Amino acid sequence: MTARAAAKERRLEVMPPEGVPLSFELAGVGERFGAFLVDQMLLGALALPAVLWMGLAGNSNVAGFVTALALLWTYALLMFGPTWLELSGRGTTPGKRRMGLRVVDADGQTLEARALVARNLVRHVEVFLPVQALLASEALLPSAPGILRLVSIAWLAMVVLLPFIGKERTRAGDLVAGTRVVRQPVARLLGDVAARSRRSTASETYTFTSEQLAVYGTYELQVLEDLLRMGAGGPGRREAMASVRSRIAAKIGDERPSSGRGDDEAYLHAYYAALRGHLEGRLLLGMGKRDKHSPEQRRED
Amino acid sequence: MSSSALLRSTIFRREREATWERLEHLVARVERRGLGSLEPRELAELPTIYRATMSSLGMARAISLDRNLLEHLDSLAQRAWCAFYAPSRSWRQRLGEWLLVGFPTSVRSMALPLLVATLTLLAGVGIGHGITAADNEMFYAFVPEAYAQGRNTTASREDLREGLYAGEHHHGSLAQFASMLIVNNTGVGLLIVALGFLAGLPALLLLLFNGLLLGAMSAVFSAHGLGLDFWAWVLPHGVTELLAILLCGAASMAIGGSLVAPGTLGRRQALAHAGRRAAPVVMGAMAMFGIAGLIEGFFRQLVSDLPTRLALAALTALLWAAWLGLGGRMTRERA
Repeated sequence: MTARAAAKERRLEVMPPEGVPLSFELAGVGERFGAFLVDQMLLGALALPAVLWMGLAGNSNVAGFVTALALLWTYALLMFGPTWLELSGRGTTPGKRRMGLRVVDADGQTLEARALVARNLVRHVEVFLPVQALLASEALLPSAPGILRLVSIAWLAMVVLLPFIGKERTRAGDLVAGTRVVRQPVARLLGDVAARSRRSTASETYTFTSEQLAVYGTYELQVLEDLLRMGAGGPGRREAMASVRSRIAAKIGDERPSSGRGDDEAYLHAYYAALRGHLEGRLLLGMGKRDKHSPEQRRED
Repeated sequence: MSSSALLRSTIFRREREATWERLEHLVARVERRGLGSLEPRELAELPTIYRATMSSLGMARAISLDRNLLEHLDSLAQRAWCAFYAPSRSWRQRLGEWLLVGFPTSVRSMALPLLVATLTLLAGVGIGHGITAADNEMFYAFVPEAYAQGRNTTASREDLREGLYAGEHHHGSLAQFASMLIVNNTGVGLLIVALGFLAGLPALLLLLFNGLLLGAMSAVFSAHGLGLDFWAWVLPHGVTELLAILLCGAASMAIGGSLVAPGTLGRRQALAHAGRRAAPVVMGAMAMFGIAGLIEGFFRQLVSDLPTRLALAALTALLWAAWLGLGGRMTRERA
């Protein structure tokens, strides 16, 4: 229950103008860091020729000019590369696409370009300044007195740790820009399991009483759906079907024997279709049953 | 088999499946290549099938227990929503809009923090100058030796003069020198913005320290009658650079201010508003650091004529004032 509550907290509920609420899953710290690394490697690859040039070039006047350009190019990539990637990807970057992530507006409004700029500018505070503070803390704020430097570094540490302490695992950049990073899984539309079972002859062979259908709830129905979608011919598939059938049959008090070979699957298809028909019918009356342990009750959502 | 034996949710799906597939096809293209890649005909059908799919999702949640179907519709609706409510304009439009409207209007929306930042800097200059002029030893309190590089209270007039007119790069080309300057200055600017999350106070302190440093330096040069020469040395690039620093300071204070006094909005929303207003300003400041670096790296090293230096300083001041003061006013009136 606590895990479920925590998972619910890490969601972003958005109400689009169309009036159907969407619920995004907020991305975790690890995935976001992974996406960041991919982007940095990409930008690093773009900067590599310039860096090599700066390392190898001599100091003639022409070479000096190219060196200056190389420095600016490297610097621009470092400073504005992430902004550029995110703007041109309209809220995604190659790294984010790879990890299945995307930036959205925290209030469900249109994502603004300047919000993308803001969240990337703040990354300097979160990544580059702390690195600088670690490597050469005296170069940071050279003209400031020691106490201010200390305060700044403490503050930096807090900003860096923000994604780990905040309830929403949000980094400072997302707070400043009013954005969130969410997961965006692509879910394929598979065949309708119920439609398939209706075509088979099993539904004529196997019928269930309403007492037998009142045993299970939505959770068990969807576990059964997963089982029936399992790839055909997978190892142990037939054994799994047989064992699930016998468990269900025992639970609902069904004593019809299995006729072997493929019959278990047909039986489960029939039971799935019947159970879904039953539960969906109750749903229309506003009644839902979450799982086999909970009683049928009025749906709140 | 008669259709009456089918589940309601199965019939529901059969009737609408084609629309969802069509939307998914279009969304996948928008995700890869943007809205611009769609034909006019496809753009016209998009809103209809988008809304139809959203309504399918609402209905599916009420009547269907097919998890795969629900997950698919959820994911499709999310992808479509993201694709259509994302910034859609092209790079060139966006850049032009920012240059002509976004940057100047955002700067003007920060008039108050900008004023505070400016006054802080000027106060620093005044105080630094006054104190150093009264007591030479105080110079060392304001200016770190690494920065002064011998240009201190004990330096002779000739040494100071030479510093203003001889140029200071000793190795590498002017271009290298300029690019180093740009890199350093933008770094400082970003640091100021970054410190904005601490209520903007560090930004004010930093501006004050910079002012004190400038004031102390000017006092040293003034003591030898080189005051005007000193400012002619600082201001050609200084107008642009100091303005950029002030803009960073103002952005920093706007962000900090939103945390301290969020007003009628919640703190979270106030911060997001301030952050979005600050973004165009900071980008502008970054560009200004680039320009200042070019002026400092090339112009100051190559031109040592006093009136020309002062003229450039005045010209840049005028240009910035005109751009930031007037940019975007016409557009807003038209709109």
